[in-house]
This record gives sequence, C-alpha cells and structure tokens, in this order.
Amino acid sequence: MQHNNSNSNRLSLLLLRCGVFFILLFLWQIAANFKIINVNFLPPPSSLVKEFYYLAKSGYLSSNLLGSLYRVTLGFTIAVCLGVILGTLLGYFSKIGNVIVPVLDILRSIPPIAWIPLAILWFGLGNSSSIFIITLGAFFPIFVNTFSGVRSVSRFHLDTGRCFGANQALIISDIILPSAMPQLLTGIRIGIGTAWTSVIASEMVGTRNGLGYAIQLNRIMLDTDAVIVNMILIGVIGWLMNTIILHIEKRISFWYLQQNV
Amino acid sequence: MATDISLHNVSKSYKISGKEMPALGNISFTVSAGEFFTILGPSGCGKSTIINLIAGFITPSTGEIKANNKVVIQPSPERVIVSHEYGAFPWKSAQENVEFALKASNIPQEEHKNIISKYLNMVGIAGFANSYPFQLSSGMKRRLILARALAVKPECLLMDEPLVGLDTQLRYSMQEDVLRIWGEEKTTVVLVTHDLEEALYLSDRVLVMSPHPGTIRTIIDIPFGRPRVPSLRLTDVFQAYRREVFGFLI
Repeated sequence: MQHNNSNSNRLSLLLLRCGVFFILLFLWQIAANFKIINVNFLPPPSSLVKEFYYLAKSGYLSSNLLGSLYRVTLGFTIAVCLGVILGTLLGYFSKIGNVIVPVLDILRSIPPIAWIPLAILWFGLGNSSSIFIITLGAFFPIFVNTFSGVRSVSRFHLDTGRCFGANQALIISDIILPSAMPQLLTGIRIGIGTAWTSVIASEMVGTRNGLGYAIQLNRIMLDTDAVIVNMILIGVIGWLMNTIILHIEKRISFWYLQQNV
Repeated sequence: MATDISLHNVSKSYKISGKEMPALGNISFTVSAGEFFTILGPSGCGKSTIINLIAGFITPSTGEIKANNKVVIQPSPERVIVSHEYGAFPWKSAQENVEFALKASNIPQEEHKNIISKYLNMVGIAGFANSYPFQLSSGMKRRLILARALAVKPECLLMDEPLVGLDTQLRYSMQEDVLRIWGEEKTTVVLVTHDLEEALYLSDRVLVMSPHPGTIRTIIDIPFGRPRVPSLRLTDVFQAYRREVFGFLI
C-alpha cells in the first residue's frame, strides 16, 4: 500500500508540474496575442515552435548543435583525462602536491571566459581556441574534486592495503580510486556544466558555427525567435548532460550514497 | 603455520603539539607460536599501540619487536590486523573484499575462487558473497574482515577489539566462532580487549595493563582446558579467575 501511495503521489506531482508549465505557456501566448508584451522582444511560444521547425528543417540547427557537441566532447574528454590523472598523482604524492596546488588555486580563480582573448591570441579564431577554453573550464572542478577525494582516503583503508602487502598500483586501483570515485564523479558533473558554459561563451566570439555563435549572430540579425530557440536548446542539452551524469553517479557511488542515508 | 612474537624493552611516545607524550612504557613479553594471547586493559592504556607496533604500522621509540626471530620493520600479510577500524572496503562486495587480500599478497588467480568460498563459509557468511558492507549487519561485517584476514593464511592474527560494540548474545556466539576458527587455522592470536570475561574465556594467557603510560601490570596463565564451552563462564573456578584479574584492573 505504501508503495502504491508513493507512486500515485509521484504521478500527481508530475501532473501538477506539467499543468503549471502549460498554464505559463498559455498565459505567455495570450499576453502576446493581446499585445501586452512586445513580440519583437519576446516572441510567443507559437512562433518559437514555427522557428524551431524552420531551423530543424533547414539544417542550421543540427549543424550548430553538432559543432557545439563536437567541441564540448573533445574539450571535456581532455579535461577528464588531465584532471583525473593530475588530481590522483598530486593527491597521492602529497609533497609535490603541496608545491603545485597553490599555483593551480590561483589559476583556478580566473574564470574560463577571461581566458578567451588570450586563447584567440595563442590559437587564433576557430575550434582550437574554443576547445582550449572548454578544457580549462572543465579541468579545474574535476582536478580539485579528484585531488580532495584522493587526499581524504581513510588512513585505515590504506593501512589495510599495506598490511596485506599490496603494491602501489593495487593501492591506487583498488583503494584510492574507488574511495575517491564519488567525489571524482561530482567533479565530472560540475565539470560538464562548466564545459557547456565555456563552449557557448567561446563560440560567441571565436567560431563560425555552434549554438553560442547562433545566438550571437541572430542577435545581430534581430531574429529574436532564433535567439530564443537556440537558448532553449542550450538549456535542454545542458540539463540532459547533467541528468545523464547524475544517473551514472547514482549507479557507481551507490555504496557511498547508502552509507550516508 | 604460526609464529612467535616477542617485544624487547619496547616503548613508544607520540609528539603531541610539540611535547613528547609517552604512550607505552618499557614493555617486554613473548607470545609463543599458536598461543591465544590477550592484552587486557582500560581504553587509553596503549593496547592498540602494541597491536600497531606488532603489525608494523608504527615503529617503537626504543626497543625492538620480533616475529619469528626477525625484526618487524613494516606491515606484512604474515601478521594481519582484524579490527573494526580497519573495516571492509565499502565499495567492494564481500567476496571482492576477500579477493583484495588475495591479490595484494600475490596468491595465484586460479586459487581465488576456492579460497574465497572456503573462508566466507568458515565465518558463516557464504550466502552473502555478493552483498556490500552496507547491506551486512554489524556482526556480519566483523565476520567479513575476519574472513579477509584468514584468507591470506597469516601466521599471526592481531585482533584489536574485534567484537566491540556488538550486543552480549552476539558477542558470546562470535567468541565461539573465534575459538573454533583458531582451532582450525592454528594461527597465533594476539587479542586486545577491555572485556574481562572475553579475555578469560578465550585466552591461554592474559596480559593486564595499567595506563599512563601503558606498562605491564601482570601476565596471568589461564589453565582452563580446551575445547571450552559457554557454561565454563558459570563455574566457580572461572569466577575465581575473574576476581583475581579484576583485582589487577582497579
């Protein structure tokens, strides 16, 4: 009975959320129809849907979307590799870590967006500078979380490994990495968020396609519909990526989440 | 499959905010191979320090520790610690926890399966091989870390309050298991406990400690025959030993 009850609660919550969402859309549409809002600045849902179909059919949408996804995938992958490897090594070899981490802490305080001009000077306009910004943006949260996860591995777990005669490779693969994994994955989730922010920001100045480029270009063309459709797309993709990683986190960190219930 | 352990004039002090704090006075004793030897004392008397010294996690400030006539300089799978603090890895299932010990001490892969099932059986959690520590009861977690320790066939088990925090009934039944397993595996056991009755029931000899800094008060032979049965606790001679050891504790 308890189970049924929570199921029907969840269903009614879902219905309520959808209801509120559609009422807001409806009010927005009505406000536009009765000229309460200026449709040049805020077009109604109906024309956004029309614009979406146009962009999808013409191929602009997919080419911009693929451009952004390509950059974010490449930059994010590099960031994961660098962040996890450096975070693990500097966390494990604490003497080197103590020297290098304060320097990284200062670099970390520079927002990725502030690097855009320098990135363009170094790599020119185009993919390279955009990927550099994305890597930079995603690297720091992944690195910092991996580092602190590795640093907070229990002394007792490490000593258990030593007691059974484990070599360093086994200590890293079977104790340090799994123990740090929940924090590492949190870093990856934050990292994909900053990677997405960084790709949009860098495309607004540095590239010839991409969702960030699309909103900037359409602003110049005064095509508010296209600006908003692309913005919504940016939001949906960002949300999707976060949700996927959250799901993976729940799968892998189940033992950690259970402990803290 | 057993080893003797000896401590010669061992002392240990820790630096706490710049001041040397003695934790262990000048201690010497020998545990014979295959013996069940218990260190009894109030908390903070340096019992765990002795265990950590024998395990090789820490080094003595003076004196030396020998296992099988070799000076202990680092941890080794010959002397495995069993303690609630050194618990199971929460990210590994029961059998993965045991397998870790096998991998760490380079036991050939093809033997893993048999060894894992043998020891999960021995401690009585064979049905929970795929369960994770968070799914196990507090007693089963103790059994798991015992299985993990036994799997590498250590010559000496260093049990630091292995049953602390369990309710009395469970404690009694796990004491039976500890005796049975010790009988089967024939390892040397150094047990640390603050439970007087547990010390008397399990041990061949009991070392009573006095605190600040930890020194040996006395070492008492416990002559009860084996196998021991739970009703031993109710006998007059058990109670007489209880009174005697209690006298040293206060």
